[in-house]
Amino acid sequence: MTPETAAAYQHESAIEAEPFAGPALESFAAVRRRFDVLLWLSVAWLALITLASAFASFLPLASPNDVAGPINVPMFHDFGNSLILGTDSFGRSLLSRSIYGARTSLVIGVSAATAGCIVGGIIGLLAGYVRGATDRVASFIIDSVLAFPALVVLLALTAILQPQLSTIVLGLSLLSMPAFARLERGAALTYAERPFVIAARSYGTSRLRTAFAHVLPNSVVTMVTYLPTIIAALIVAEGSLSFLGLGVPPPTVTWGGMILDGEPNLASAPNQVLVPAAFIFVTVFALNVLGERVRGRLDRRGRG
Amino acid sequence: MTSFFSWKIARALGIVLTVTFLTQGLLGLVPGSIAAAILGPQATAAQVNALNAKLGTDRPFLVRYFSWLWNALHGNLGSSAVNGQSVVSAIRSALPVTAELVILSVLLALVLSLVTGTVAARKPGGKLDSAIGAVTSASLSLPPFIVAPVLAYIFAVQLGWVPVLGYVSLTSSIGGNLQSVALPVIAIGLPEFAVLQRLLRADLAATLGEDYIDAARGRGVPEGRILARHALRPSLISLMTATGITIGRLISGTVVVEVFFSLPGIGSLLVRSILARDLIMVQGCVVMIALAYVLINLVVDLAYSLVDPRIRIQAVA
Repeated sequence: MTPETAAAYQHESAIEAEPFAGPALESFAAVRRRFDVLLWLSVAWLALITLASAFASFLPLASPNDVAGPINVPMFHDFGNSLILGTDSFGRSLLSRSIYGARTSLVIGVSAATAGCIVGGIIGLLAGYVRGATDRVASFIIDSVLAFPALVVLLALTAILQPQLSTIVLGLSLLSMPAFARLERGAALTYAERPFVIAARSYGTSRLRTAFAHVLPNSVVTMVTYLPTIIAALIVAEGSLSFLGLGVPPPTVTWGGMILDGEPNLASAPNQVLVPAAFIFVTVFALNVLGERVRGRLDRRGRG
Repeated sequence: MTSFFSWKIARALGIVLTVTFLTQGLLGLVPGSIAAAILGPQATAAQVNALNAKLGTDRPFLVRYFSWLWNALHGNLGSSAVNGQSVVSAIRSALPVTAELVILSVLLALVLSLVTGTVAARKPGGKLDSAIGAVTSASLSLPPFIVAPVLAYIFAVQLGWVPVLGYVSLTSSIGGNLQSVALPVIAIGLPEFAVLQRLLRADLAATLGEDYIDAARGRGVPEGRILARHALRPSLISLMTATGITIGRLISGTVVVEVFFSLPGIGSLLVRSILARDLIMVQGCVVMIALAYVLINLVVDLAYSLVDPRIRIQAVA
């Protein structure tokens, strides 16, 4: 079999293996027809917050660590100088701090999830395709790590390495790795027995090349559909750490740190806590909605 | 059957040993020496050496690990390098607080999810189902460190129903104790409720489509009885495992909530020790949490396989 016919065979069998059954086709079309307001609101928010935090320095915002106005300004009291959401007990603009905080959360969440996805994906691919002892060792490690409360691992890590951006990204990517590894292992297992993979092996492709060139491109979809959900979980984990005072230290602005700072003034100036809390909630919610919808559409194996 | 149980127990022991080994290994990663980390930058080299000798941290790694393990097996986890308190006694006084929080929030999540899950599964896609679904999908995105301040603002600051901070022990006043843990329990239990409710609802909705449910309806069994006896029973098994799994996240949740509401549990102890760089106490707490966690999962695993023999057969095969 020439590579061309093998490729055609691969394409064909991939379709043949997963035909759109009646009900699936129907629901797929139904999803297409109905305009999903929640999904588009979520996408709009994520786009807005990403762009705003990426280009924060070009926006007409007060610097997040500078005194921008009087202290403890309530919400919607003053509209000038980006004080619309009020100020904290140092007179720093809450709007500006929330947007710079988004930068920290998004950078940490996205980079840790990407790193976890790549490393975990390779481990899962090898475990699921090579099988045997590799699989048993990898699975035991994956299960052991997943069997342990994530925040406690992170706390232990920060106790030992000083909390800073790189430590936290490292810790979070280590935490997300087993989840990706397990997802990729499951997907690789199902693709390893597909006719196109067996065909590739039979005309002499090496095991490693088969794994990366034939199994990986097909099974990677499963991991990608979980990316938004895992980014959301990592943003929550980073927020918990910062809230405990063990996250990225100041002057870097973090949402969790803002909640920690505002907590003593909860009675007199609740906006200092509620504003960052709302930013975290909306962002995490939007990521969860996006993840759920993407899974519903792309992952034909159904919800995981 | 015996081989299945012993395999599970051996595995749990293996995980606990791995965790203790890794924690000890992590302590080895401390830049400089443990004594230097505890004493801070002002300490002289002589002070550091003296403390290292006292803690035994100048010995080789494996010697340190096995002597720690030997002591741990004899109920001695060492004592705090900061205030000299014994780790075991610190954990013993903190454990009941955390245990109470975990038990109450699991109960809250279970009761709420059983009620709303059954109601929602009755008419999948109905108004009530959609409303509950909206609440649970929002709750999934509400981590305890957001819920805790918001609840404190509404119920403690605005309404004044419960005190904001402080812990009343169960032995001094039952009512006072329940008041002081009410908000923490809601903050911890809310996301877990969402997870369990969604699972139960999906499970129940699928079960309600089975033939034997139609058969029961055909026999004229009342709808409420079908739900409670015929449909709910098989779903309870998966609910049980899910509860075991959620306890992992619950433990993370208690750390944050204990710190926010100043409750003297394991979570506060852990965070306080980290901030004070009291690494021996940190090690003790982490090992304790791991032990509790593995034990809970083991019990759930074993109970699960007693209820449903198919699990046992699959796991051995």
